[in-house]
Amino acid sequence: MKLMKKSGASTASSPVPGLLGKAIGRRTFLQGTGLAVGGVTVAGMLPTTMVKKAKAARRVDPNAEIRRVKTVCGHCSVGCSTIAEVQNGVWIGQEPAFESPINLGAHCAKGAALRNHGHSARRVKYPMKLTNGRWQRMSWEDAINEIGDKLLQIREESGPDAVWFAGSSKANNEGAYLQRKFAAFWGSNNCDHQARICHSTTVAGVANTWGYGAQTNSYNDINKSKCIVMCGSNAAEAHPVAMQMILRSKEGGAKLIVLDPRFTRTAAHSDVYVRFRSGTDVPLIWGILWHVFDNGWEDTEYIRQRVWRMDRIRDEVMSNWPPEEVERVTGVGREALYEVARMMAENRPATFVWCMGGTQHTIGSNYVRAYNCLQLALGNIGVEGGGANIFRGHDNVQGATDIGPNPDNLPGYYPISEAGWQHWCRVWDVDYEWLQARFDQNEYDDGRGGTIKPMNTGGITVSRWIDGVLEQKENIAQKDNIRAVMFWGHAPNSQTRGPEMKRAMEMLDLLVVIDPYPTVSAVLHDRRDNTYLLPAATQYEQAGSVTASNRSIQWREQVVEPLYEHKSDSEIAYRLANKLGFAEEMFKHIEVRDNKPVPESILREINRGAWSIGYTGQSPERLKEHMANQGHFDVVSLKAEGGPLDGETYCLPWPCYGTPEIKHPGTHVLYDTSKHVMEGGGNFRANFGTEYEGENLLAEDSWSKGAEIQGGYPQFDSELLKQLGWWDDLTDEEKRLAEGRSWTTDLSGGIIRVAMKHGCHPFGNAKARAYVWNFPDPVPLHREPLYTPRYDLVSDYPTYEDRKVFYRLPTRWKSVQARDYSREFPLIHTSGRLVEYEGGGEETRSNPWLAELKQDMFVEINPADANDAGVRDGQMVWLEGPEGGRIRIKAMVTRRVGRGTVFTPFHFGGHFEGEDLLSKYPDGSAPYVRGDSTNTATTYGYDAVTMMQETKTTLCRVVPA
Amino acid sequence: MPTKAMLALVATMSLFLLIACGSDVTIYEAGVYKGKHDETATEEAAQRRQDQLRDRAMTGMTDR
Amino acid sequence: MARMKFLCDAERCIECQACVTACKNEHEVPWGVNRRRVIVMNDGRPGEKSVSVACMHCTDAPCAAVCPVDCFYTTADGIVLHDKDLCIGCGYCFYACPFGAPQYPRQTAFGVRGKMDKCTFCAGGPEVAHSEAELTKYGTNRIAEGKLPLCAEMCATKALLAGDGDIVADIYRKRVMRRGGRPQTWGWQAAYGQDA
Repeated sequence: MKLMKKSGASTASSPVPGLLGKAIGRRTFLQGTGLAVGGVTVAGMLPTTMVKKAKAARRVDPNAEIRRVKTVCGHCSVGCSTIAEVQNGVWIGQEPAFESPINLGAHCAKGAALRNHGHSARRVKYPMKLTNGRWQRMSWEDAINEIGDKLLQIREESGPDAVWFAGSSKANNEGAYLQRKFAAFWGSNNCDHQARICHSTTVAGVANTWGYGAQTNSYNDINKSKCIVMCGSNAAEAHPVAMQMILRSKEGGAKLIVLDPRFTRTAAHSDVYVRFRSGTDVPLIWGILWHVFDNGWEDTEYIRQRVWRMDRIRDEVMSNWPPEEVERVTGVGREALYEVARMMAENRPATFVWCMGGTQHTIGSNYVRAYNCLQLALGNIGVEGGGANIFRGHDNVQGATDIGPNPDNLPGYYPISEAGWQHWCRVWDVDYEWLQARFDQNEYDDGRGGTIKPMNTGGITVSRWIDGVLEQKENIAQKDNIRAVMFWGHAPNSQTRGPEMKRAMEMLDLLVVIDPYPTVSAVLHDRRDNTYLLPAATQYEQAGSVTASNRSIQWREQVVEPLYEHKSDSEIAYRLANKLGFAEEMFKHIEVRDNKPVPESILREINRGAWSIGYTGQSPERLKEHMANQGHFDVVSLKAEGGPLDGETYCLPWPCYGTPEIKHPGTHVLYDTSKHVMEGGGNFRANFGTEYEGENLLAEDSWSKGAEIQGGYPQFDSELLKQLGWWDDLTDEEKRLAEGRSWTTDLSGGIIRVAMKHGCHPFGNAKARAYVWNFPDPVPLHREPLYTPRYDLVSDYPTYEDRKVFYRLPTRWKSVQARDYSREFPLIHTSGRLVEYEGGGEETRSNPWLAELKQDMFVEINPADANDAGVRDGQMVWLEGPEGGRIRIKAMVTRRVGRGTVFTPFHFGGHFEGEDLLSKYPDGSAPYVRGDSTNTATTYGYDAVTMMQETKTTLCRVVPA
Repeated sequence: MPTKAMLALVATMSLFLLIACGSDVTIYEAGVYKGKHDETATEEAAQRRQDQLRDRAMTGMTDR
Repeated sequence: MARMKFLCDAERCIECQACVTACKNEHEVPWGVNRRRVIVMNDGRPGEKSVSVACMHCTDAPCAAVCPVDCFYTTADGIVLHDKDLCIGCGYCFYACPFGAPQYPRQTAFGVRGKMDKCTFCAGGPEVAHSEAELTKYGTNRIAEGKLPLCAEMCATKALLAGDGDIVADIYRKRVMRRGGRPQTWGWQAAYGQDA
């Protein structure tokens, strides 16, 4: 087997020269040198396993049947379908799913390399624990028993809140839902997942502005845009297949504008690129809006009908942000922003796309609302081709946000107040008092002068769990410090403040990692005992539903049986719940076969409870029928034309209101008044009452097509139905369940059915709020980052006061900003994604087809800064952060970043401050590529609404290593 | 005589050798493929798959 | 008769490397060998462009012209293939190829040249189609199954096109027409002025 053999022990070679091997661009910069340096370890570990596995995976039997299984890529939120060819239980081939209207067969590097998951040798193969600093294999039974006993002991001593766990945006909806339910039945809100550090500021910002915390339109709908504005989004690397729609739209005449501190690969395809100082999005957007107002380009009629208090925004923009001041703060001149404003005004509808560049900031929720205000001013929300096209991160981060392990709400965004818990207790068919007794009964400081029970207060977030361990016990608003942590599908190196995390991990009484790969959690610390690795199955080893960024809920079939001793998330939840003594209640109405909860059965339970966001119409049967008929859906409208699903939208994007039987078609574009509610139409949500300070909050002279109430109206409940004389449209059975309920808590779905029958939206019809009174800054304000290079601006734009209790923890703003670091640490340090890797990167760095392409952690540095620091291209450097963390990485000198800014990717791990942690991994499970994690050098800083971490604007210095 | 006989023998042999150099003798031809036959490279094989490949391109390469 | 061709639309290529990993996935090409690569010009600067490059399956292939053992042949639909059993790994084709397509996997720790390896347009080689021998020496044979190269079939933006040259040209021409016949990336005006 010639080809395979040649991958032998000699791969530490320099690449073949010539066009295909010549050093041009970022790839080869890393590749050429990488093979010489990083390749040594690669050569040592790669060949034998890869060759054997490759052979094993490819023994194709000409006589055996090949099964074609459709699944959905598990990397980003675009939701690309793929077809797996399976023979004798082995994943032998991967074929494009041309019929999917989302990707039309396309993939990025990660999606095109999925098959490796089917035979990867780099996994955690069986349960393991650290015994005196060495990994030892153990059985599942022993692992569950030991972990369970320790959890129960900690609960006994310190209460349920001493256990904290990270669930996963990479779990299917069913797994993520069970993770939240697991925390609830354990008796704590101390659970969280990747959404916190991904789009939490988006969810809070947009939900508080107009209703739902989700992308309003879709990737496909961008085909209808006339102008595409991308701010802090590098789709070419983070959501590559989305670029298919963006470039198609551009070919049709749409203008592409990219606003970013870094000249990204997305910017390389733009019509207009604006570079600005990282951390100044609010002034940047106000700078654009200034020209909009100055030229009268705002949509006054739309604002009158559908937006509340735009005048307050106008006052802030026109009084405080004239072009000169915008230039002083952002570095962008008058003409550039005039051009952006003009282009948006002349090319309507414009869509606005943002990602982590706009969310991961100490005032991320202000950025998000500034984007919203710009779009509302131009009348671009609730229209096809417009919208806030928020590209989510992980494959199921939208679903996990909707119904998964959030510390501050319940599935379907039901509040953690008594009303919310009561609702879910009815759905779960458990006694509310029983569940309540599972929680700590004491009351703690609520941060507003009162006290509150842990059951009703948001748990500690994934961005701050380390402070739950490190903070003085008396400063934490719960019974005790966090003593046990379970990372259930979450990489730790995506969170900031690495050195403190190492310390926190070492202080824990118990650390459990549940993941297909060991992750950095297995190696970062110097623990010797009480540390467990449990092998969790990948998305391809279990069936279930997954919510793409556009809210379409696709169904994954199981491709192969779990490799080695891996188990699905739901099976692990079941086994743990069993050990901890609440499986009977937790799985009361969920079918379990041979310790495996049935995914369809879990989804039906979600369908029975998540009325508030319309996760109720998507029965497993409907979803499977959509997956089987993908070819019937139009690529632009996502609507089925003809066939059994005529008129339905692809995979029933939520809200898909009511029961599956009433056949709501799903909602392609949110808040679109040009369509009937039963065709996916809508309007802004009436979620904040009907008036505020004497002003009307409901819509004026605007309603969705066919609505019998022509004007604004509140959310529906049994009283409103009676007032309207529609009560008798309910059946007797519906009446019984609906009496005294609102549309979100009526388990019959009758209120929703009747409201929609009359063309009305169950969640009411209100104005979007430009002014969000319940946020720290009702009008979005600029505040300088905690670590700012422009300390001279701090007096004009100071950050917030410190708070004593915020998500149970003391949280600092002003006391951090009090010191000027800009002299010692003169460079802005920003971070982001690479196309080959995802998240903490363990999974993708363990895939040789991907790992080969990016072998070194690096920092992009402008030639001027490189010369100032005495650094040459390709040289090893230390990047040092102001809180003491430092990383040893390779310098890449490039004009992609402007002078004064450096960029690092955040997917690397497995080194700590220059030291390779290879020896700490369980044998044979280390990823092929390791490197220092950017978050070893990142700093403190959290959003004042959601506890989002700051990863995009901090400071650093770079010195030769 | 022996000389004659020798000549005759040589002539016969030469003739025989010349005859042996028939059209099937390998003479090196530069630029002509010397490897194994590939059944799927033939005109017939290409004809057979042509329509299938065209359909595949129309499905997979176009924007739909 | 159709002639198979690749075409990479630089306006659409986003350097995402899907073509590279699709190739690795399909043929299990080992670490260090790249039948296909993405090349970037002006990396990180205005005018940044990328294209995906592999063997271009030349009609008058220079590799075949210089090969001392004549191991190259062209299929009836224009795919350039070679016989690895005949190949001596001399590297002469590498001198001749304008694209640097031929690769030489190392066979031992001391860097002795192995037999040449290159893109097959997913058409295997001179072994029985779908046999173990074909799979291990050349990779899969999609063409024999009526499928096109996986790199193009999986391209994120449909930048990389593969198939009968006439069809590929037709798809590309329509796209160019739709664009108004000129490149659309930032830096064009900066480089050539607004009227360009």
